[in-house]
Amino acid sequence: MSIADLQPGQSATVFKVGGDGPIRRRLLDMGLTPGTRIKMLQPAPSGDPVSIFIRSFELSLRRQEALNVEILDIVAQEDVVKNVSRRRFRNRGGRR
Amino acid sequence: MIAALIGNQNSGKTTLFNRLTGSKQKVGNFPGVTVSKKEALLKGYSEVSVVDLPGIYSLSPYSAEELVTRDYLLDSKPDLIINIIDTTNIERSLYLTLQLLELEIPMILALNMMDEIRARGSHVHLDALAEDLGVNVVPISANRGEGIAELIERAVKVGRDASAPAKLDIHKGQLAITMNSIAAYVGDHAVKEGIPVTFAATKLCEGDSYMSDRLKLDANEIETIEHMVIQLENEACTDSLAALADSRYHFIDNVCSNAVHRMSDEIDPLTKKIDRVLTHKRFAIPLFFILIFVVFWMSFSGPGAWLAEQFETGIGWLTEVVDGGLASLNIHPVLHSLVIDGIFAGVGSVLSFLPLIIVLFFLLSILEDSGYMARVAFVMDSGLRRIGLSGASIVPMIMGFGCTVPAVMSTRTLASERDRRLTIFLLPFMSCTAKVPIYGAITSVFFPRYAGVIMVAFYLFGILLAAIAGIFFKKMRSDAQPIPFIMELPPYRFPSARSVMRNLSENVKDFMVRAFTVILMVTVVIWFLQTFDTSFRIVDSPDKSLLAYLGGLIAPLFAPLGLNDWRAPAALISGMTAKEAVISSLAVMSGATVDTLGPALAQIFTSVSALSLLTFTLIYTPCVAAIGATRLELGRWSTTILMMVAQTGLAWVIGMLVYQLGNLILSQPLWGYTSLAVILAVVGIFLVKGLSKPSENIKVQPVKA
Repeated sequence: MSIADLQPGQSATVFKVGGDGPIRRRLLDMGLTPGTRIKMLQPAPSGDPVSIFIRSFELSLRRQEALNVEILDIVAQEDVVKNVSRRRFRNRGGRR
Repeated sequence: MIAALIGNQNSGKTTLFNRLTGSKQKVGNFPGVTVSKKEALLKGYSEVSVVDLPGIYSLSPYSAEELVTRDYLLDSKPDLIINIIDTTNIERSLYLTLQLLELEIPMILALNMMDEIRARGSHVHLDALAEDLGVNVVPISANRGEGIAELIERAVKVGRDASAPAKLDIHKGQLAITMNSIAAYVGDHAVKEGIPVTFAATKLCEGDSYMSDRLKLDANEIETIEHMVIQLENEACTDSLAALADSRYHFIDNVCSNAVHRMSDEIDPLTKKIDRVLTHKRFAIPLFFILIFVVFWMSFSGPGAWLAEQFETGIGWLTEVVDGGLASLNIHPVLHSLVIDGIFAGVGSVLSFLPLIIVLFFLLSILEDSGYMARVAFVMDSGLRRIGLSGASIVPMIMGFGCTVPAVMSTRTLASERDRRLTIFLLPFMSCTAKVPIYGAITSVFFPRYAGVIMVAFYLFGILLAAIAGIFFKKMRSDAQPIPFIMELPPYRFPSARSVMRNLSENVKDFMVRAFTVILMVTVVIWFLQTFDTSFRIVDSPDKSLLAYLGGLIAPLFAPLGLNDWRAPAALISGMTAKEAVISSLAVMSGATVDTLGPALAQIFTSVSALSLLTFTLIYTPCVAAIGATRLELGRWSTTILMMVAQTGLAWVIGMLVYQLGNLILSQPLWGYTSLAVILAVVGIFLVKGLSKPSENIKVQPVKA
């Protein structure tokens, strides 16, 4: 599963960030690191790009780029989730 | 002492810069690049100058701006960093802070938007934050001007102490070991090259080849470092880039769990409500076009046009008074003519459009400051991708309606080189405010009843041309790399009157300066050329003047466009200095004042050739200022000249089509309308085919489990 599979209102935990080059670097710089909770907000009118809520800000990215971010623990329509599950995934994510 | 102001985009950096400094700002460029550099003296301290660096998220090279900031910090070595933090967004802001701390430059944190934090009932323990990060922390609100005096005072103190912040133990475990080994291994090189050791180690660990070049490492040394990194990656089960980012964010999470207490970790409720409408599935795009239409209507036919009329009457009155005054003083007739027929007619014809431009810039800066532009990029991205651009290009494009020069410069925020070039090429098709006087004067004379409609039509025509050109280039180069579109959508904020006014006054000042320098000069030159003949005697009729001779030489070239009166090509050439000059020169050449411009123009053009003049003006090469900016951004004269030639050639072809077709419709309506329909159908098919084609054929590489 990747961020691109989330429905609006669903939230999940980042498991692994793939891809390469500047896109991957940007995703990591923007805070999409393993263990971070994210929430799908809404897609643009044409369905692409999408916007997600992460680390208390709104980030827009294309489905193409969202496919690089693998996720776990999908929860539907939740309110506030703290970074509780962070430690569990810290040493498992990555490319290799 | 030099203080560098650094922070994320949308962190309120420009507002803070204006608060920290007085009104005297020096705008220049960073050496070698065109990223503009604003510098000004710190309020109350004439020995401290503040440099406004581009808004960035990280020191890793992603866009031209991040490169500029990194190079500036490494090479110019400011004495102090003022790091502005968007406190509502503190984790991501601190991500940049941690990288800045590695540079060993004295630093102070300005926690901005504390008013919003308070309003949300959240709380930041400043002491805990300061202690965890080892730097001074000052709470401020740049918008409201809170905490600015304290920030200035403490920043100067930190700068004078000149002690670098203590090194933080950010990384743990194997990562810390690797970082230390790399630091120890390259330490001598770094010291020799004057680069902070920790920063060098971080970049080498990330595999940044810039740093290995910079430290002049040989193949052996690079290989040794690669081994260290591979060992780390095997141990950590992830690559070094992810390990570093993860480690930094982990450190930040720990700091924030101590120091930041949030009442809610939800999206700003107001933003949520506004976005429900403005990014609505069905309404978003129509709303965008309605908003842009309202902006143009307000500027060109509503309040803007009304104001312009009043202003024009004022200029007309002033002209009469000065005319009368000069006559009663018995001034030499040539001098009299220079002032009235030259300066007043020329500069006045341009200046009378100032109210339109004020209204347009006022509305554009409100849109820009509110956070709506980022939504436009979000909403329009998929559409723009169909013409080979990305949503990020919409911001320069909309700015292009103001002035092409800042719009060309703003393309540096685009991450892809190809995207930048294409955006720069298409920018002149977005009619800038300098074209407003031309459109305004011509339409009001030849199409008084439909002036507003025709002006909007020309704006739309420009957009249509940009779309066609975009599709054309996309087809020519199908190998284009996908352009990433990973950007922040900042919360909506009420634009502060202060920054809107500041933006407005800067642009109005630019317009006025242009009117009284370039336009004034062109006006005088045109007046001179048409007052004297080839042997520098005063002519009795402009038709025998030097200008008529020169214009007559190139007029045949413009005959197919119906612009064979010598005054038309002469005006178009003078328009290259600044677009408004087209109309000011026409005014001078026809010997008209602001009040009598209408009948004078009617003698030079028919309604059809007026349309072809407008078409040519819309498309042909932008003014020298824009050409200069383009040349700087592209870095090459050859490409710039190619662009100019291509634009002028296109202008000629389409101008000719408009004129010939227009005349055909007037003389033989049946044939005329048939050809028009055929042309529209061909363009329509091209557009539909180009737009409906799946916008990407990029292979998706799913992450391996």
